[in-house]
Amino acid sequence: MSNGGPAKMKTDNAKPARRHFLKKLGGLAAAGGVATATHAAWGGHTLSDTFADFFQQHYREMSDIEIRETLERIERKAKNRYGVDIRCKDTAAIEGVLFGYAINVSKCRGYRDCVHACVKENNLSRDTQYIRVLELDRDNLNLHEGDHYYNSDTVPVEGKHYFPMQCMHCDNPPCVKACPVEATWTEPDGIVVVDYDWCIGCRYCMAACPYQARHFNWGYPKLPAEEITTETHYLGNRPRPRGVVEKCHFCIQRTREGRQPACQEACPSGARVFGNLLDPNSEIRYVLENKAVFRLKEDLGTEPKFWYFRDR
Amino acid sequence: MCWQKPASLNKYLTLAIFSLLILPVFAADLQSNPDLEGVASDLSSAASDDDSDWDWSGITAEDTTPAEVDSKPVLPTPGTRLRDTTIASPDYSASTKPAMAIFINMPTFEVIPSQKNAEMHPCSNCHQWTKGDTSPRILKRPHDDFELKHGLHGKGKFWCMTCHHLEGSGGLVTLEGEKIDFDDAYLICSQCHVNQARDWVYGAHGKRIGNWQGTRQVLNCTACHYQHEPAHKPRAPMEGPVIRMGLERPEHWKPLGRGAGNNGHHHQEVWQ
Repeated sequence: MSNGGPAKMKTDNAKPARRHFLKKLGGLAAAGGVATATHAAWGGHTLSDTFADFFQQHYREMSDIEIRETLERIERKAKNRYGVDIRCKDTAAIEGVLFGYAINVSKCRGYRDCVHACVKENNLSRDTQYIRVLELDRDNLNLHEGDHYYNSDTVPVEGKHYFPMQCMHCDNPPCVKACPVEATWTEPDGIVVVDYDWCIGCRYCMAACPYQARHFNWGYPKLPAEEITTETHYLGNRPRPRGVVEKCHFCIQRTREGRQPACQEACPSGARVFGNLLDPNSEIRYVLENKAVFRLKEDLGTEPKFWYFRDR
Repeated sequence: MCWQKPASLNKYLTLAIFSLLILPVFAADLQSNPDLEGVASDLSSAASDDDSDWDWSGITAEDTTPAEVDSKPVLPTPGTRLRDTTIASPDYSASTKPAMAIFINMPTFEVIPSQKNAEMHPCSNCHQWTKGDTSPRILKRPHDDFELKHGLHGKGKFWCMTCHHLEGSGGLVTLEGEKIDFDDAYLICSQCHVNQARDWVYGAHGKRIGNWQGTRQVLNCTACHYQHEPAHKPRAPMEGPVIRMGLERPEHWKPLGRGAGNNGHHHQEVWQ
């Protein structure tokens, strides 16, 4: 598989160095090998960063100091790789908040504005999209008959309806159970997150997810440096390494600070409703209590926190 | 052989008698159990039009009859279903805007002011010099740049003066004759589109901007719906996803209609 655009030049000649290092992993003798590999092998960071990366703990097991150092390291790496000053945070979940999402299917008109807002906001590789919008015949809800690649001159097409899908942030997530290294888990505010540095890239979670919500970075993300979103979160939209799984995280870097997710902000038809499920006065609660809502594949018992509803 | 028959018959007879005995008990239970009743009524109301059970009759001139004012319905407490309660009758005297009445007891919200047509706003720019012709006619310049395609209203039901007035600096006017600023255009819309107005206030309709928490800041109706032609026009979609390797479509790919796969594969019948 090809590497990402900006990273390609740096990594092509450096691939063997990493393998070399991993082979000799037995002891510190390998340090010499790494030193000769120069910083290009590791996305352009120093020997000390390389070692710190290698011995980096699981996100939930790091002390405050370790997390701070990790965030600084992530910022340094992004600077070296893309030449962009990013800010990486680890904003904690807001107390008493459980995020939920609802989409008004009769309002969605298939513009795909949400898709591209998401790509931009979350520093996605330009060949990956978290949100999939399906085009279906009217009154047809067999999702396997949906068309991802619709490309009509104008939407909505007569006789079709549109159905956006993304990570459902299940309350009983099968992906989390499938992960052999616990690199993915549910945060206190209900967001299912991935520790990209702990993920080993086995893609078991992708197989376990019934909603095709997870995506794999085959190469370094194809990320134009001038389009990088610089406000990032450790569990969210920071530039991803190669060979890890990623997914929608309800724009954790925005929503934990009270802002709307990028998809909701971008939706021109107001089909998207986002809010706190624990707040009885929230919009999402109004929708759940007053509209005929449904969820996808409810029979699997995954308990998605992602609802769909219609006006009538 | 012949002795088996009465035995099985007995079994069915016993069953029948038993069920005859037990059914009324269940039925009585269903009738007496308020929980089950609630579920039943909930289901029936959900099955019918979702908005039909919401009683807007409360906003009629109840305040003219003092006897009814005394029996005001209970206010909805936060978190209760709207359909379980009825909205309190409005107090016209307390509200400066009678058209505001249907928004009484609803959550607070902030409306982002509508964008105004710089040339045409306010009406008094021109109409302080020229007297407006309010009689229904074929419009001439400068008012000929639109056609009223507002649902049924364009078909001779409504006329400009249904929503506009020319007094002072001009503006909007409700059906009851109350003058309203252009920024409060939602008060005009909500006269007829009451269900949408309710959804808009509570968050199931309309475009909220800014935060997901705190005071709800919403766009005015006219920010998304052009008031003289409210239906949205089709628009070009943004770029689709990259087609996954090996799933490229043939040049003249056409969907096979209902049942067509999303990737050109033809599923075998047995898997469907």
